Amino acid sequence: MKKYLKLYPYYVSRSLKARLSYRLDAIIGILGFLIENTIIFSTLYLTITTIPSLNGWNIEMMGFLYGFYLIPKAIDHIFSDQVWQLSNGGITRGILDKYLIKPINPLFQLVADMIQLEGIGELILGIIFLAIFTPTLGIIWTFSNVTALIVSAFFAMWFFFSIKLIFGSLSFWTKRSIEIMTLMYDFSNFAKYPIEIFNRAIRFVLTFLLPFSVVIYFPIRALLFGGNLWVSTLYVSIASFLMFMFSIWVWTKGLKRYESSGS
Amino acid sequence: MRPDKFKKYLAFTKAGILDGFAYKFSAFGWLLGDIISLLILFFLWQAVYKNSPTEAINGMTFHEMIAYLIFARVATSLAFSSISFWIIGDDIYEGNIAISLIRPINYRYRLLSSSFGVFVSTSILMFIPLWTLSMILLNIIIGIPIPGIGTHLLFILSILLSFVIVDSLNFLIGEIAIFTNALFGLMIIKNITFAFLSGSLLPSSYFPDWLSNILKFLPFQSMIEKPIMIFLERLTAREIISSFLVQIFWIVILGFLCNLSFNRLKKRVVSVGG
Repeated sequence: MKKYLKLYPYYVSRSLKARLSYRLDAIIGILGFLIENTIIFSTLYLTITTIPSLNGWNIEMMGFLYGFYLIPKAIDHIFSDQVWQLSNGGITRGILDKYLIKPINPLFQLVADMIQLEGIGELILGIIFLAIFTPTLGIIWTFSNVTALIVSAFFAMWFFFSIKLIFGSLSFWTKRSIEIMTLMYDFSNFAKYPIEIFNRAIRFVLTFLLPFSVVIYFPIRALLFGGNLWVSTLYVSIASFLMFMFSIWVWTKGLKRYESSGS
Repeated sequence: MRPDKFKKYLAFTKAGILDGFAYKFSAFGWLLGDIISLLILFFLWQAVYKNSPTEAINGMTFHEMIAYLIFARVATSLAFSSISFWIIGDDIYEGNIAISLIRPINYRYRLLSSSFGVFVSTSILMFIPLWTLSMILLNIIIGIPIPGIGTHLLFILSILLSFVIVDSLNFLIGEIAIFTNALFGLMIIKNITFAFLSGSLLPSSYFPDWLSNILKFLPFQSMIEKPIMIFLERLTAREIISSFLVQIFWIVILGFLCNLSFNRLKKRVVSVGG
């Protein structure tokens, strides 16, 4: 453990140096995600403002939810983007070979291999949204609910990571799984909306199978509508923990099957 | 153009068609992803209309809106199928552009021909099946009328012109690759901006006035919104003619800009390449 804590900063600084040697590229990447989410939210804004509220959620609440959604997603995006390489034909290209010959946990190496600055775009926007919409919502910030939200966001970040790792690891069996991985990752988009607008089947999926709404939507609903925020936070941590354990299990199983591409 | 000259470019179109077919499975995979956004759209709009005090919002009922959004989504996959952005981006990045310049082929037309090949394969593999399916389903479930053959032809012509506009814009934006390698970031910005401004995400009746006024002077609305409105028979004959004229106007203007900027780019490439 101590070894990894010591190693990680080296990996980060190496990756940052590599990224920042093309400064304009990094800026365009960051802007890309910033602009994309701004436009998606603008579309939502133009949609929702034609009606008084969406099942009791006005546009400020939706904006706050959107902002909260972006933060764990962004942090995961920044720190573990390399997992996408697994599903994108990385297994057949043999990207794991260089990790397996070192006496360091291969999953650690995979994750630490790259810092993806693009995610900063989402992070900035998430913080901006929270800052813009908090005053109009009249949320009373206390030490307790700030802590609960931070804890929720922290676990939600692991949730995003676990989903990526599970469906990225599928590539150990299928060689390529980026389409299904994208599909599952995009399921998170459901969590940007009140779960009540969906039908039963989708609600079931979002609560029990791919509980994105549990980790994103429920805490915010509890915060805005006077529910028990700490209970939601407990659910977030349980869902994320289970998903994380499952992802590690899939990854380990897959890694045992791994054969180098041979060249 | 003389026939033998035309033949040259036809070869690129053929290659483009084959390329499109080669990646058909990944195309289906991405299609699956579109189902998620369609599901979200459906439930979101259902809730929006349930919460609306009036039956029509911005002049469209729930059924009309759903038809618009589904058709727009399917049409977008065709109109935006151009790959010129990637070809020129990669050619600049890898340095192949220098080789392309010594060939007796107009680079701009070559890219348009390749993209047209992908347009054809996308039509066959995805667009025609999905469009037919949407048409039938929307007709059975919510009674959206299936338009006659004339409307179909007008729509196809309109979407073809859209495709040329999109391809020209892709070419122009792809040229930015000479300054940066961040093609992925550029693509994200380009795709979402096009989708929004073209009315692929939301019809322009939802836009604030200042934005609608600006968009009148830009090529985007003729890319998706106009073809769909033609298809849904919401435009008068006069409006249809004017929408075609606008599209042709933009094809000419953008074609001119492509040639102009590419000639300048060529000089830069030569000076870089030594």
